[in-house]
Formats: sequence, C-alpha cells, structure tokens
Amino acid sequence: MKQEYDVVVIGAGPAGLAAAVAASDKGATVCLAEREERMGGILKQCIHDGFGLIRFKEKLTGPEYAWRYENMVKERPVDFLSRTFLTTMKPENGGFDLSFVNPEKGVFSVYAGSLVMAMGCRERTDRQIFLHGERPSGIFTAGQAQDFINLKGYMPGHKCVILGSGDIGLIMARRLTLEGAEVQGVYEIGSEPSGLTRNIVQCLEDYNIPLQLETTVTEIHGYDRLEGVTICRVDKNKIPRRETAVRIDCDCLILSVGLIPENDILKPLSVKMDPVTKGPVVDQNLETSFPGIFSCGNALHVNDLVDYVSESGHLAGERAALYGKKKIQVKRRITLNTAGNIQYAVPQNLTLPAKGTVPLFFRPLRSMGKGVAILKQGERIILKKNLNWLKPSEMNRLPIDLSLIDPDGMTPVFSLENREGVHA
Amino acid sequence: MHKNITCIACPRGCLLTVSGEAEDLIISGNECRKGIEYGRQEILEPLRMLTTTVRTTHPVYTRLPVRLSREVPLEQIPEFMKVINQVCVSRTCIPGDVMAVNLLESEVDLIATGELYYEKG
Repeated sequence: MKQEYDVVVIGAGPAGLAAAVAASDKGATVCLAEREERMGGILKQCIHDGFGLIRFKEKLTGPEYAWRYENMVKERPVDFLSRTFLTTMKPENGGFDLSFVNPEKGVFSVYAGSLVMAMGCRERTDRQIFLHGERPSGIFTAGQAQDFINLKGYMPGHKCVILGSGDIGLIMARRLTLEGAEVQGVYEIGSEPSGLTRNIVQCLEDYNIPLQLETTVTEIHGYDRLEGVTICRVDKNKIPRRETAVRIDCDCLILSVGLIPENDILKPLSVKMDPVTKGPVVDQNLETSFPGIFSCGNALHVNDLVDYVSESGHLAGERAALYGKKKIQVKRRITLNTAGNIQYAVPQNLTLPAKGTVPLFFRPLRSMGKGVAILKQGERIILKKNLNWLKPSEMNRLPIDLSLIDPDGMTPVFSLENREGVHA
Repeated sequence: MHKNITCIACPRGCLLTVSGEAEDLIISGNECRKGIEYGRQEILEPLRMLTTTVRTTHPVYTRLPVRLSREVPLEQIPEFMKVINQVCVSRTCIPGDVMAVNLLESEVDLIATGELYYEKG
C-alpha cells in the first residue's frame, strides 16, 4: 500500500528541517525527503561561523546549526527518506501523488496531503554568465570548491582567481588562503561588492586579497587544465573594455556569481513564478498559486541569513499542516504591489481576510542612506518605518499586521522612498 | 601610525581612520560610538574565530569540521592552522566535543562542530 502523509517536505536543508519540525508540532504526519545521505543541506559544508544569531542568539558554524535542527527532527515522529529524489508530482484527490526514487526501494510513490518545497538554490555556472570557450578542469563554482575542501578534503587548485564577490566566494577566498593556496584576487563586474561588508573585511582585507570592482573575466586559457584567465575592466553598461585586458596565470577559477532558486519540479504544474526572485509567487502563508504547495527558504528567494530560511521553513511547515486539517477561509487573494526603491518583496500576494503578524522580506534596488518603508492601502498608511543604510546585498525584514489590511480595500502598495530629500 | 579600516559593527560600514599610538588612539570617520570600540580593538589586537577541518580515519566522512574554543589574535591564525593540520580523528564525536587541548600552549582548545560516527568493535 502506498504511504500517505499529511505533509511531505522536499529537501532537508535548513528550510526543510524547520518545516518538518513545525508541521509535526501541528499534529501532521510528516515525511521529509532528501536527495543526499545526511540532513543539513548546504550548512554541512559552511564550516565558518556567524549562523544562528537571531534564531539561537549564538554565533554557530553551519554544521552546528544543522545539527541542532537535525536533532529536533529526530525527536519527532518524522519519516526521513535519505538519498531520495522526487521525480514527478501529480495532483490527486486534493493532494499529490509523488513519485520518488532511492537505492533501497527503487521507484515508489507516496501520497501527500500538502507539500513543502524546500529545494534550496543552485549556483550560476560559467555558461550562465557567458564564459564560453575551452573546458579545462580547474573551473568551479564556489560551493563546489567548498564541498571539495571542507567535506572531501581535496584542494581545487593552488593559484586561484575568484570571479564575483558573493559571500561564498569571499569565504572561499579566505578558506583557500588558510589551506595554503594563493588567491590572486576577487573580480566583481558590478560597482558594489555583492557580499556582506563583514565578509569583505574578514575574508579579504584580513588576508590582503585584492578586490577589483567593475572587472570581469573574459577569456579562459588552457585545454586540459586551466592555465590562466583574461580579465577586463568594464564600462557603465558592463561591456568589457578590450584595451584593459590583462592575462593572469592561475590553475583555478572560482565563480561566485549568484544563486538561482531551484524550482524545476514545479514547472509541469504551471506554478506562478516571480521573474525577479526566480521563486514562486506566494501569499503570507507561503502557499504558491497551486493550492496545497508551499515554498520556503532559498527555493522561495535567495536569503543571506539562515535564520530567515528557518523562519520561512517554520511558517511553510505550519501552514502546510493546517492545509490538510481545515480549509482556510479564502476570501480574496490580492497582489501586494511594490513601488520606489524595491527590488522585490516576499510575499508577493496576500490572502484576505487574515489575522496575525507575518514577516515581509525585501531588498532595495539600490543602496540608500536614509529611507522610509511605507505600506499603504489607498491613502491609508498601514506601516511606516524609517530604515538606514540599506543595501541590495542585505535583506530586510519588516513584520506586518495583517488585521490592519482591509480585505475589501484597494491593492496595498509597499514602497521605499528617500527620507527628507537625502540622496541615496 | 595611520590606518584606514572598514567598521563592521553595523551594515553601514563606515570608513574609519585610526591614528595616534596605543594609549592615545584617535578614531575618526565613525558615525556612532560602536565605531570607536571596533576601531580600537581592531588596531590594538584584532581577534578572529578560526574554523577549519581536520582529517579523519572514517571511510566515508574524511574531514571533520572544527573551531577554536575562543577567538584568537588574527596574526596567530597561520600558526594555529599548522598545529590543527596535525590532528587526525578516529573516534565518534558530536559538536562541542574537545578534540585537542591547549593548542600552542595558549589555553585554546579545538572543538568539533560536526558529528562523526564510528561503528563499535
């Protein structure tokens, strides 16, 4: 007989672990499926510290943070399926027929009342940033290099160039240096670093690793093994200026050029996606446009703090557990519009009427010294808060009281404006 | 002495200028008091946590993540790396377990941050 669960969680990284714990605590029967052998997701290889300051009020390393959640899952009646991959999902009787594959059972199916999608994100690769040409060995994404060094104990190279200033790239610059590699420099095409300032200081400045902005890699040299790269300064439109081309010898190129939420499995169900976040469009319950499918963590939008990932996993797990139990009274699902200096805001929709306070996560489009965030419905101000020193690389969180939103009112608009005429 | 450092006490990231000598430091460029404390510590003795991995004899999990029991002076990090790289783990452990004591005779211990499980016998 086919196994049935109230909630099936896909992915046992920080979002999925929190979702499984929360769903179980709400009384749901829970299955947690993970394609790797162990729980923890990317945290297993993030051996640096700084995790959990909000969630645990402590500075933990990635494996320590994961271990705490792993224990919470193990203390609860959650069925954990390791080395298990979800291949298809079909809507069936208000729930979902899931087809999995793993080495023990082969292909098998599971019935889920509701689903929490916690697949995390993928790194952008050399091909995705149009770095074509030969394919010598020695080109890695930052996470791949991190996996080689921290989990497998292999050095990806000895003379390294890092392209992109994302946090994992910065952390790998330090990690490679500590392990004896020479890091020639970090090159960023943008005019601002994309990683946290803290990482610029403690990973690059501490070890005298140069960071060069408005610079990118335009050519790969070498056939079997990487022998060097050509770097170029770029103009305002990010077009390389050929006259600035310089060749740098290296045997390793590490890419830290962005993360993309992993949601391919949702495609056949035509779940509505947000073109900016690359994750699904959700409401305050983190439910997607497909009833019964919830999304959280980096699959929903790329976060910079794991604490926020756990928070969204918790919310999605809780709401997925309620989905099977009682029908949430849906009156209206409306769009939460954005205006001004907003890159994106999650949730993108609100299902009304609603009570309680939910977090609104957003990133500004550009850096801003003194800003004011305003949530308005028509002319009525629901929330107004002054915020300072906003950066696109640092996500913001604002709690919103849903009971203040009139279910029959106009479309609410969330905006970020300059305060007192101070320029960004 | 004259040095520029980026304050990381908050996301603003003020560019601090520190000048003067040990007991008489002059810090400027800071927008708030946090910058003064940060700048002083960074100039007198920057402290950092070191996290790395050590070898194991485990057939599947060949590295164990570790950290130090407290922050140490930045300039000593390479020396700590040298002694930590001598450590090899061959027993079951969980995060928080002490894997080596009194590294470099500085009363700093090596702490496991990951779990490793060996079958008994």
